[in-house]
Amino acid sequence: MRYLSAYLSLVILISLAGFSATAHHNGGVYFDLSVELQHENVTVVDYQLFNPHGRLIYLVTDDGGNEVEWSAELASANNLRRSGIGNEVFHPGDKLKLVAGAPGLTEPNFMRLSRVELPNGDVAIFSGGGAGFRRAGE
Amino acid sequence: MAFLATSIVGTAFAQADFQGIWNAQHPPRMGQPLPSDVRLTPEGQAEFEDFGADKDPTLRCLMPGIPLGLVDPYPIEIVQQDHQILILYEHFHQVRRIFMDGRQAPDHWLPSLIGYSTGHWEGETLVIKTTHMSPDNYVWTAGFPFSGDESAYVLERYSRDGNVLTFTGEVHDPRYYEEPYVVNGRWAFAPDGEIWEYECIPEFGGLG
Repeated sequence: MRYLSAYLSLVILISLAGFSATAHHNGGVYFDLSVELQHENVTVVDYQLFNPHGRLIYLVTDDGGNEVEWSAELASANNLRRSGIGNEVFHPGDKLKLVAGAPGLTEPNFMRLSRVELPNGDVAIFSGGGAGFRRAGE
Repeated sequence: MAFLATSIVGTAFAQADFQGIWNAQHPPRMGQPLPSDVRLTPEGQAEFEDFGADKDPTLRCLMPGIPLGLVDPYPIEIVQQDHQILILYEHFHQVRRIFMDGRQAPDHWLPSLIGYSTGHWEGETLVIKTTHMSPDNYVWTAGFPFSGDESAYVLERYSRDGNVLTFTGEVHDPRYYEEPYVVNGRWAFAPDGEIWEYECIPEFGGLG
């Protein structure tokens, strides 16, 4: 917990219902759905859309200046593609302004992804009834 | 004309027309009850507390089966024939055969993820009873277990109101539950809907 707090940007209460629409699984057993973990200014290592879950792997810099790898679990490829989020959204090396989600309860450096903010202001919503892209300014 | 004749023959014994593709529009929590409303037996409570991802067939790319797969956030297609109703799920390409001709499960039928389903009409409501379900399954990912006992069964009731198909499922598992576990579902008729391939990669099973 000590190391986690060093680069934990913000933890806020979120709606439990927000994870129900695109995720088949309840997730409450494996993720703390009562909080939102936020990482700022991260670098994409890998992004893959598969069923039953996609995956985003990224690097975040902790308070000590060390790069730490995190893995974010996504909804299924089929559900995300229907929401307009496809394979081309992220690429290795991409810089992301913000990655947010529910922290894992059983594994370190692991979360369920809820949204990503891109440097251009676009926001990709990965869970809940509003999954999809929200373009900057909309 | 040929198409019309085929359609009439295909639904001759149905009391309502459910045919076509339906998009999931389930209630909050995927229609599952609040955990505080579920009444487990002491044995069921022990199983609940021992729950883990290893109980989830879908994380190993096996179909969810019944009761876990009663509702999913994916489209389904329903095909009505004289002797059976087919429910084709996008999720894991799951296929359910609901026998409507009065047959019962043969003696050799083994417990399986999909079980053995028979159905009948009560007015315009389709009633399905499923037995022979595998103990290698569970009711819902909040950790609710399923015993797979021979006495366990699932009752489903489907009814159509315009372009909405509603569903109630009761999981009868007296070994683990003091009273039936009840789940609700809702689908919207989607004449232009699509059933996609659902390729599954076990390495991407994740945790839920």
